[in-house]
Amino acid sequence: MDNLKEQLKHIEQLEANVGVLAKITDLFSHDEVSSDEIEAILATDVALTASVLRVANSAARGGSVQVKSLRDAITRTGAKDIRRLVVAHSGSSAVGSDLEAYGISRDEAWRAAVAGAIAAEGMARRRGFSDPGMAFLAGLLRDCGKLAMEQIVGKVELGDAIRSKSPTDDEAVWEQEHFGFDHCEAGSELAMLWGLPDELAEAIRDHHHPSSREPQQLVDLVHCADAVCLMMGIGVGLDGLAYEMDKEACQRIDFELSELEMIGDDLRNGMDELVNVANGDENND
Amino acid sequence: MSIPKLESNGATHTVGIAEMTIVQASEGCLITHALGSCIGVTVFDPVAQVGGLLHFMLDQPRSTEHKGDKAAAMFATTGIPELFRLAYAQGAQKERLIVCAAGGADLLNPGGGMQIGRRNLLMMQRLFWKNGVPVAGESTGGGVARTMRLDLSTGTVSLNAAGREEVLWTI
Repeated sequence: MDNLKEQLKHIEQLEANVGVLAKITDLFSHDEVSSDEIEAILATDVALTASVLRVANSAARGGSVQVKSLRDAITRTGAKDIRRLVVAHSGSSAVGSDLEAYGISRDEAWRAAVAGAIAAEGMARRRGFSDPGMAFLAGLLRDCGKLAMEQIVGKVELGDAIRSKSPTDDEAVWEQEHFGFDHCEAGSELAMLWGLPDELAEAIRDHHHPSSREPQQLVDLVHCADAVCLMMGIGVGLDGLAYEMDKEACQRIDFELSELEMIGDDLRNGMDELVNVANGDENND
Repeated sequence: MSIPKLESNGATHTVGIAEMTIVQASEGCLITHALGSCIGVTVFDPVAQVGGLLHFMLDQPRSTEHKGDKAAAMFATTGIPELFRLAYAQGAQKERLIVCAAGGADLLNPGGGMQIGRRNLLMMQRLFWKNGVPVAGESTGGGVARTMRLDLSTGTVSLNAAGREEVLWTI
């Protein structure tokens, strides 16, 4: 484990933007968040400011009167959605990269991250979870350890190894057996290195096996969100649809078939905006 | 998921999850990605030059919120009839329609997850059987995600599943 921590410290590619991510997570852990505080964080990142302005002026946000100031953009978009946008934008460097060894393109990795975030947040809200925004962030970052795996093991070596694995083997179990750690563990260590909350790191660590430790609702939510994404074909890589869906976790959070309809609605309503924000492109409206 | 490179002179319409598209065009293509447990259904009338693609998520609505038309393309029971209705409205005729289907995979674990793919497949087959709709090409079930494409100039339906190309139907 210490060796893994040391190796992760040297992965520069994963460090971009996480400062903003940690700040925004900390900010929203308080009950009252003022526009001044949000503005102060957004103003530290030019690309982020541009993204927020673009979203505020999109047709979907009723942008017939153009918003020019960051303050007005925050007011129009609303604190809750600003948090989603900032988290998506800031987290994209950690989960929106090409995962060659896993057979997942950059766009697909990012779509999977966003879909998992939206699904986890929606499920959290429907269950009255204390912090749906934390579920969003945990869903978004759940697979951030995959990029770390590629860098530590090597893309070619990891890709060759994944291709040799049985299609029915669970990815995380298989990684543990072959490398002594898995992408969940690597992702959890990264989250701690970035100064993100412990509960988030634990959700990333246990999202493949939510019943392996003391049950936690956040872990169960992220597990089910992860399974739904894969089920729907989002973020599928070389190992296809190999995934052990934990029945006990589903039971603990009353995850039933009818919930898939709600998740479908959540994805239809929220995917495009967030995918485009992180891409920084012009297709927002 | 590997995405095939598209080379077409006409427009490429991407159909998202729980969406459908019907076009009357002699070139271009319709494509949908991420068919895991979801199923893609294509219809093509070579005479009327009408093509359509539905990407449905679930077999039938279970919550009261989805009983209306708001999310017709999300379900087999509402999306499939709507796909055919829209195709007929564009001039397609049932006896000329070439229908293909792909998807309906399930998670590869001992319990089979929630068996959404299997449920979707059974409902689609039931609807087709009940309405006398023959399926010209089908690639369903298993544990792979599929990308499905309908070429509007020829009616060819092709798939990319786990990096392998497959033609489901062609002239």
